[in-house]
Amino acid sequence: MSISDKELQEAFRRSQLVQKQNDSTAQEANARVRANVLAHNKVNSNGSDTERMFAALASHLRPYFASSTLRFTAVAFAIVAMLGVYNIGTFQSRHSQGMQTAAHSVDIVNYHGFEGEGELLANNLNNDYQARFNAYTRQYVERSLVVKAVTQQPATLQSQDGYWLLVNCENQQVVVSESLIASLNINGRIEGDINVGTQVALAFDSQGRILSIKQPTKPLMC
Amino acid sequence: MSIGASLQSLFQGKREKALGVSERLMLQYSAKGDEASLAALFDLHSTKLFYFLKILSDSTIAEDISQRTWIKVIEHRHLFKSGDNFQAWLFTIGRRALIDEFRKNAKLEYSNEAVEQFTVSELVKHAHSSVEDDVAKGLEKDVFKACLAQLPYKQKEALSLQFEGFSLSQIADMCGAEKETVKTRIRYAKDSLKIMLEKL
Repeated sequence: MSISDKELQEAFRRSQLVQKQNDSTAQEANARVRANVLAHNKVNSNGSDTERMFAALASHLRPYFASSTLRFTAVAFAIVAMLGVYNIGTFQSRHSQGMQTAAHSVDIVNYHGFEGEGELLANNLNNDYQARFNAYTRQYVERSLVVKAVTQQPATLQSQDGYWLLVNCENQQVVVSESLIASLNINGRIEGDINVGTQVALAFDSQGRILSIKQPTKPLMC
Repeated sequence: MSIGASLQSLFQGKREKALGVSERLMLQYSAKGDEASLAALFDLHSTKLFYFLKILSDSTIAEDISQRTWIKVIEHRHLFKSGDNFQAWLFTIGRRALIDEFRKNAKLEYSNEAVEQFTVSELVKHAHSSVEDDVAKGLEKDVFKACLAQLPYKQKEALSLQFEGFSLSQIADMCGAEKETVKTRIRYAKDSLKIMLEKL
C-alpha cells in the first residue's frame, strides 16, 4: 500500500519528536544559543541610538534612491537638513517618537513562558528531556505556592498552535508558551473545557505572571 | 478626519488585524529592541529553525548557523516590514547563512550530483545502515530521518520547508527558484522517500 502525503507529513513530525528525545545535546545547544543571542541583544541595545536611527532612515530611503535623480537630490537635501536639525539637539527625540508611533504601530503582545528556561537547560546535568521538564515544573510550583492571585482578567482563546494565543479586553494578545501550558495542566491550574473561542479568566500574581487559566462559571465583564 | 484618512486608518487596522503573533512580536522588537519580544520569538521559532538547519547539515553546524541567524535578526531588525512573514524571513536568513558556510568550507558538500548518482537500492542500504548505527548507540529508531538524509540537498530543502508549513510561492522566494521547479523537487523528494520507506 502506497504512503500518502499526509502520512509523510505525520512521519516528519514524529521524526522531529524522536530527534528531540534522542538528541539531548540539541536542547543544550538551543539554550546556549538563546543565552548568547540575548546577551548580544543587550550589547546591541546599549549601542548608539544615533547609529540605529540612521540605519532605519537608510532603509526607508533606499527605494527613493533607485527611483529618479530628482528624488535622489531631494532626499540628499532632506538628509542635510535633518543633520542640521540633529545638531541643534532636538531632532533625535522627535524622530524616534515618530518612528515608534507611525511605522510600527501594533497591539501589545504579552508573552508568558518559563523565566530562566535557558539557564535551567544549560545547567541541568541530567540529559533526560523529562527530567528537564520536571525541573521547570518544580521551579514553577515552588514559586506559585508562595504567591497569590492579585488580578483576574477575562480573555478569549483565539488559537492553539502549540502555544495558546488569547486576546484580552484591551485587545492585547497574550501568548502562553507550550511548556507553561503543560506545566499549568500538570498542576491543575487549567480548568474547564477550553477550546478556540472559549472565554477564560486569567489569574495573575503581583508580578504579572499567569497563575491559572480557568473557564468562568459566570460570563466575565470587560 | 478626512475620508482619505479614515479609509487609510481602516485599511491599516485591517492589515494589522491580519498580522500573526510572530509578526507583531517582531514589529514590537523592531521598534523597541526589547529583550522580552526577542526571547518570545526565539522560544516560538528556534526549534523549527534548528531542525531545518540540522536536516541540511549536522548538529554542530546547525547550532552555529542558528546563532548567526538570530544575530542577523537583531542587527537587521529595522529591515523587517509590516506585511512580511516572520518565519519565512527567519528561514531565508538561516538558509543563506548555511549556504555561505558551505561555500566557505570546501570540505562540506553542497551538490546534488553526488547523491543523484546513487540508485534507490543504494540509498535504501545507506538509510538502513544509518538506522542500525542509531540503534547500536541506544537511540530510538528513526527511519524517516535516515531516509530524508539520503535525498539530494535541494529536494531535502524544498520538502522540509513544505513540511514546516510554507507555501510553494514562499519556498520559491526563499530558494530563489521557479515555483514549478520547487514543485518538481518536492514531487521527486516525496516519491523517493515513499520508495525508501516502503523498502525499509
